[in-house]
Amino acid sequence: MSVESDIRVPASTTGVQAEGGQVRSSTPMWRLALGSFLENRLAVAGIALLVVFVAFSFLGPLLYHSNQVDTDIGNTFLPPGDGHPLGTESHGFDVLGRLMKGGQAALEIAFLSALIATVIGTLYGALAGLAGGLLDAAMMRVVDVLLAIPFLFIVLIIATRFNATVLSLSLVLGAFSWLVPARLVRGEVLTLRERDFVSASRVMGATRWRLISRHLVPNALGVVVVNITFQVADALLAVSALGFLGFGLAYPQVSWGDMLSDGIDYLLSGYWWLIYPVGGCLVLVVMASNFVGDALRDAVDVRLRRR
Amino acid sequence: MRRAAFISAAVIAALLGSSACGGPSGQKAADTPQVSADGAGFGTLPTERGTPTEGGVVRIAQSPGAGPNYIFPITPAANGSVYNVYQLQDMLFRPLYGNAVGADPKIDAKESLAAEPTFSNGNKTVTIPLNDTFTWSDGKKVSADDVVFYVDLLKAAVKEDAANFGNYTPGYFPDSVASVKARDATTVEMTLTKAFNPQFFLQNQLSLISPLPSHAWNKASVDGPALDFTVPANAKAIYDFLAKQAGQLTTYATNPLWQVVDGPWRLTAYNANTSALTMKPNEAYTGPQKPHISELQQVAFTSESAQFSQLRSGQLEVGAVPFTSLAQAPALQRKGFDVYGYPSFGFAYMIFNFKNTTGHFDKIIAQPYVRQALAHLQDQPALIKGVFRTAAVSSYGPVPAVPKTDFTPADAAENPYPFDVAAAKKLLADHGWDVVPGGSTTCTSPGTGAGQCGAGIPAGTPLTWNMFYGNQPAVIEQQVTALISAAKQVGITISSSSKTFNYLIQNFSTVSAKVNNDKWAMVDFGGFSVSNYPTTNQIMNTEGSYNFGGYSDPKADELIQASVFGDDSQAVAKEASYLSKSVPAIFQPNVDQVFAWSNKLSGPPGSFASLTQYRLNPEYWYFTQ
Amino acid sequence: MDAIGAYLLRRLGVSLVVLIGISVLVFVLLHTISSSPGRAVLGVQASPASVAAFDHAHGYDRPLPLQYLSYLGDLLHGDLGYSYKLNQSVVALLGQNSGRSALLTGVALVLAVVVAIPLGILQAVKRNSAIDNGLTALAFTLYSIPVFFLALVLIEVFSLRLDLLPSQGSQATTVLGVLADPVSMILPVVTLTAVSVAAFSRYMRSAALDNLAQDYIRVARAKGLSERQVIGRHLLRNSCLPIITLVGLSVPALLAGNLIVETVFNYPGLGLLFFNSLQKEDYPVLMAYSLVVGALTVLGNLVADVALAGVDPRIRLR
Repeated sequence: MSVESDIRVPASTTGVQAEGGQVRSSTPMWRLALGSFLENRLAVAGIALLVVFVAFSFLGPLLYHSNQVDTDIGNTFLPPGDGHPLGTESHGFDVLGRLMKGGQAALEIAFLSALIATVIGTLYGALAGLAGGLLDAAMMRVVDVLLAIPFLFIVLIIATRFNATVLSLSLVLGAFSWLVPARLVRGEVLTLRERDFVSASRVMGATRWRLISRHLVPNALGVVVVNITFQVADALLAVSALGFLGFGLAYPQVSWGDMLSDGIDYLLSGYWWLIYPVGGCLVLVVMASNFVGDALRDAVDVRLRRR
Repeated sequence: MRRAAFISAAVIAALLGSSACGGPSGQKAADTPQVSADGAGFGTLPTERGTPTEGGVVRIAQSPGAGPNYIFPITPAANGSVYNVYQLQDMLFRPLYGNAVGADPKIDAKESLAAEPTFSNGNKTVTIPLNDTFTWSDGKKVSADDVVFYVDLLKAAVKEDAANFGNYTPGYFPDSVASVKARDATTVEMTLTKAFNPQFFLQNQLSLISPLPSHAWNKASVDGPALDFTVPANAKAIYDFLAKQAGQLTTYATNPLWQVVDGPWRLTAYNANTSALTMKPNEAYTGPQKPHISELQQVAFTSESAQFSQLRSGQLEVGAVPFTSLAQAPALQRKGFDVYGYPSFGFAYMIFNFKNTTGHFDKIIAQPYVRQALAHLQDQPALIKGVFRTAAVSSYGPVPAVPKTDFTPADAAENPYPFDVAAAKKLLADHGWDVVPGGSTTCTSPGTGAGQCGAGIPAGTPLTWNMFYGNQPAVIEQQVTALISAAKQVGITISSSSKTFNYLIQNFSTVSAKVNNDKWAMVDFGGFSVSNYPTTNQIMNTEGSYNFGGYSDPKADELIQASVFGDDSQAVAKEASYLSKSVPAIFQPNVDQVFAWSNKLSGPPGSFASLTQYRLNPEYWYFTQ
Repeated sequence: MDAIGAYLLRRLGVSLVVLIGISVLVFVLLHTISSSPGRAVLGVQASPASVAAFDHAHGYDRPLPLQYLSYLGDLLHGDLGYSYKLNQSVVALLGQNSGRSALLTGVALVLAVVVAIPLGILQAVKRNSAIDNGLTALAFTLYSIPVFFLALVLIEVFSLRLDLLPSQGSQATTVLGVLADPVSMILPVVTLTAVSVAAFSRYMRSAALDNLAQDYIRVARAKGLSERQVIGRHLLRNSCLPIITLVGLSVPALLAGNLIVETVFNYPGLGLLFFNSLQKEDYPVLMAYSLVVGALTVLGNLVADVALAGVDPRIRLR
């Protein structure tokens, strides 16, 4: 679906492998990570931006009232002016209010699908990594097949059949995004399981489930958390692309992608307020997610290195 | 004009002054003003100007993704489109009865190969007198045999497979022709299986005929002998051969068959991949107007914006102005283009599914007051302003008020159900519904008495159903959303979902997809363009093959029957008037088709006005310098 | 057979399995959505009998596994089916359009690599300087912009407001024709390149940073080589190999981006063909497109894996 998820795996070809098992260091691990994270100014800016946009989308409508349900079909495409700081769009809805509403759907879908993808992917990858052998190979081949099919193709085909709602779009996007976390987690699990603490647990009689939940997942957590933020960014882009290509949410729902789709239709008429505000929001939120993800990855690396 | 065909509402309009201009009145039919001073047209239809020069190349844009792809004038269903007929076939092979050069949908003797037919024997015998004007490019005159040839081939085609002729409806042309013969070289005599309304038969059925060169095409193989096409077995063999030849798109410009033409143009190049084509004047043309220009290129595009870009940058002489680019119209004019739009003859509508039992929809929608209430929720003036940027005309029934014809009902311009939310509310409340604006209106007084909901509607039934609509063009979604929003105000909840046009026609039809009857309540995919004689036969009558919603009204059936089989040429006006009041569907504004052409090009106003009706008459155009 | 050869063989085998898996999945998906094109081809007014006759004549009423097998058989003979909507064989359609798509993607890819490598190395060498931070910020911004939005903005600015460049890609029918019209390709190529450059340069930076910390760089410096020689001769060569991996892995993204760019700029390539076919529900084309894309992705992954294996011996032994 996108390339960045793959290359975010420690790109170093010389791969630093920590030796030994868990080491109790003097500083708690999470504090190390947090410290590294906060040092990164971009990351802080990213978090701040995300908070701002979540507030804008979900709390904004409480402060700025606009009617996003009743169309005002006689007053479409008004340029920014009195009553409408960002003008109106193709149904007569106020654009600023619509940005808030679109943000709600876009963010909900992005976070929900990232969550779904990560949960499924983590479990799948952990299982494959632990199982090893033929089962692992088979499971990974399934992942390969699904990864090779153009994502847009599948979703667009399905979209011609089902009704796009926030939930269904989240499910579909999640169903296609779990592949990369699965691969990542499997990779982590493969590395981790050779470690002493796993053998030790096995010797002590731990069941496979306990192994996964108590030992492997927490240790692979770093990678998983990093991946979530990138999943959010990717999902946001994907939702927008779908809306743009005409397979987005139906009235009265709307997402940023649907708004951009409006914009392209009227591009030649010069209705810039249909394009730049929503595009700007989209870019800023995706950028913020990427900042956070990048910083998180650095922080996780720090954690690994200090073990 | 041909019979009803699908148009996926190619919506375009210009943002110019709203006053319509008439051209100068002159002797030629093409010169008469095509636009009445009723504000329906857009932009200016320039008068004819300048001295004609001979020569020049005109590049005209094809409708995106809809370039002609079938040359043989018996067009199969799979290739059925107005563009095949108007922008390829009719330019090479003249129809027996051609439309006037202009926006008016009527037959014009000057553009026809025959004078008006006479009906006798209780409207069951038709005598067609060919005029002596047209000649085939190989020198032979167009004769009655050529008409008989067409009918015989057509009969063979539909006998073989109904899908071989897109305009085919069992029982109608050519099934309606019991026998046809050439009484002499210029007279064709047809005996019909039953009596048809003469105007219907002329405007909608005879207009389907394109005489074909029987002397050149009456063979079943490339070097085969001439066959007697009146023998059905021969007709079948000939048809199969011609259809097979027509399937080879790469040979359209080179196959000698397609070079025998009686129209003003001949095909000199055809791109099988893109449908782009080039035509040059037919030197042997003997019709009313030989082309002035030396070449016509139809340029293919895959999107409206692409063709508009080319137009703007001067790489086209004639092209459409998508309504989404209206704001560019003044810029176009400054660049040296004339811009003009006019509604095409047809209607757009949102279809009700009268056979959907989910949520008792069929019982609900069967109640006239419910449909009337819905009609009151349609605000056409606002739609025209906000959605179509003033480039559309309100339309209240299957026959629009403009373009005006002899068959337009007198009340076509009156809205029987003006936009009025309060009226809608009252209608529902007066019939036993508890109207909850913004909420859910439910039936509180079930029963069949006055002031009660109606038969089959239990107490507590809410007014909620679904609606599907085409994902292109964008105006469909805007209109659907506007209706849904208005419906909310009287407590009607309509959920909407967009699908591709193909998906809609495949799955939402009570005629061909009965298995889905309970899955959809309303659908909007665009509309129809109507034939010259604008009966809604097959669209609104109970057994109609395009009656996707299953609308069934005995009075409508009776009126339609009279339109098609009766004797009164005004029957169709009565039919249209009735349908407008009985709300078989929600009618939507009739959209202007707007075009722009280089102002170096001129000709009789009608020859440009006809663009708005999908027809091409470039033989009237000329460069002014 | 040496280790690399064996690895290659193993990977090829796996790739084949994956390809077959893709074909089955796509085939099943398409057929569950619409079992036959009969209705779509013949139109709304065709009778159910005509539709059934059409389906029977073209074998759409056979059981699914049989249809799949015959499709597979056709595939092996180079027959990808027939598009009824466009009235041509799919192979012909793909042939006409793939050249143009390959041109667009190829040019964008080459440009992206050519720009990204020096950018990445520059950023690594001048790590944490103003240049590095500035370029990082730029990369992030480009990275976060949806491809279609970038395209829209470019069109709005350069085509509408400034009227400098055409708003759509070359409409020429041949690759040579496209090459003869470079001005119209500027915006599409820039759009496609921009997003790739962002990703590639980040990767390059990261790889170059890792290499800079390596012993051999220190040795080269100790030997007295100038900084330029160190970078040009050693760093560059060793940081380039991962680019092959990256290019291989970015094939799906490039193809997806290609689809959007072609749609926005109306450039007649495979992407636009897919999008139009989707609207018209032209299933043979959709099927062939996804197979082609799937095959290219598998190929890309193969190339990436082999390149990686060439570098890291441990992977080969797994």
